[in-house]
Amino acid sequence: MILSGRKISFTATIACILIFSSVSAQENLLDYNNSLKFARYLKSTGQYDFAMEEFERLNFHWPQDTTICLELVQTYRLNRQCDRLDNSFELLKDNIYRHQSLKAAEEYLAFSLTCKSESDRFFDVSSLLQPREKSFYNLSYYWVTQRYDSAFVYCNENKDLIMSNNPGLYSLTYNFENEKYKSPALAALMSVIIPGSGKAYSKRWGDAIMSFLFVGSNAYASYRAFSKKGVKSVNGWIFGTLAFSFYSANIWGSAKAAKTYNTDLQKRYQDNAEIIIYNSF
Amino acid sequence: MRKLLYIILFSYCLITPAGAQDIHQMKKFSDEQYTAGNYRTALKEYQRVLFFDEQNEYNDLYSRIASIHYRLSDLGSAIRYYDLAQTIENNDSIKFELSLKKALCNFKLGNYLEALNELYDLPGHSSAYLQNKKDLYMGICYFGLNEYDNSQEYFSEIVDSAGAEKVNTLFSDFERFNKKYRPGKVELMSMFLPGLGQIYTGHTFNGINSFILISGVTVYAVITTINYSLIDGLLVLSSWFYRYYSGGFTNARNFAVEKIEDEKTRIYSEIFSLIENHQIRITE
Repeated sequence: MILSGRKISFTATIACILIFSSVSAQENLLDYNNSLKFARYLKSTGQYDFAMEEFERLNFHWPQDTTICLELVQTYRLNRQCDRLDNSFELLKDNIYRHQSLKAAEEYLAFSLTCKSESDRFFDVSSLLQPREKSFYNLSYYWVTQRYDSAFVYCNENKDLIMSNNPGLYSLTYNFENEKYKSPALAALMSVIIPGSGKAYSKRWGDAIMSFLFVGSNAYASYRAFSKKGVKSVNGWIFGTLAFSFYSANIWGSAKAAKTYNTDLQKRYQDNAEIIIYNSF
Repeated sequence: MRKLLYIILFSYCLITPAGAQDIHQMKKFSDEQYTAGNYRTALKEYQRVLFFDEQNEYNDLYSRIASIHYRLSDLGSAIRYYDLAQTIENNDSIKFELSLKKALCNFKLGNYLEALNELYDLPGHSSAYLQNKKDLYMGICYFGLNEYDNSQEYFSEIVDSAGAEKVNTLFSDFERFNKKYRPGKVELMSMFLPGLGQIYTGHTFNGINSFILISGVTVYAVITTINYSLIDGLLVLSSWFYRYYSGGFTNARNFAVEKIEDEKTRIYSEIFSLIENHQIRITE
């Protein structure tokens, strides 16, 4: 009886040694920890396609893992996979609303801003944040969706909060609100009076000089031809027609130059705002 | 009962490793993917192997990963991995080959100077195959940098005497061609007689068009000067002449540059077919 007990305990010991040695002799590279480590390595080296595949596999095996969901959405954002935005919300929904995770909420908002997505859901999620973060994300939303009037109003209403926490974005919004635009009508009118002056008003100095010279030289040549040979002067009519064509084209061109100036100005502000916003994530 | 326990125990020991993916199995799987041409999958899994290879058993994978990047046309990453492979490699011949591969990536990216730097760092090699490969790459780099004398010298090194003669003829013809269509000269021709440079480079219609436009404006300006006054004539010229005149000779210059580039491409492929037929030690 004692012998049989010894035999059983010997067998059990051998069993334990064999099981532990067989498990510890090799490391499973596809288990949770190793896959997560490797996925993070891929993400940190900018191999977002591969990182997405790893996180998606992890998410499939461990769907309840909030860390994986969060990092998967972050990888989607870094890889600009905007078609996964709705899917990302589904992944983070529980985390945002049930667990009140601010990280998950901020990740979703950052992804929405990256995709310039317009949705009421944005404000639902941002309302869960602290006032400081909320003001930044809301103002950023108005900027990336190019709702400038709303951005000015929001910035003025939350002036102190934004100025203290995001001075760069505040001063950009303030400067943009007080920026002087060029009037296309005024530019056209200026070119009616002095050819090329409308383009000078829009800071197109080279164009302005060339327009003035073309219209001026052709008009002067026409004037001289008509003065010398009267209305029957062929040169007078040729140069007169050319001068008139340049003159009228220049009026239209001046209005267009003012519009282009305004568009360029707006684009410069928009680009700067996006740099500030995207560098804040 | 004990027998049954042993059977269960050993079965478990056999089954457990089959379910898990250890580094060696992963390497084997990656190799299979690579052999099957599934380079994307192989790339990812090789990286996984390297990432978990704490014993540095698979250092040869850096070079393999570099070659996958090269095949996938990601030449920047290929250079980075060839660099890593070179750092840990001890064998001089393999190091030499890795440098050549880096140079190849660089000149495929058009970075001829960087490729040349890489090649200059290489010492002479006792293997004729490797030395010839280096000379070939040097020739290509100098050709890409428009340094034709140096390029000719290196290309001549790797072909037999008949081939070297043909290389010399090719380069002499190309030099004559370059002189014939020197952009500055063609530009001057169009300054002297509008349209002449364009016609000289084979763009006859463009040349005639330029000649008619500029001579038309000039004739009209002369007529105006005769009928009216010099100021009126100059006014006619001022608006139109400069625009068509300067546009004309700039076009002529561009046509000359384009023609030389086309000839350069033709010569380049001719050199390669010549090397294929007259190589002396290029095969391993």
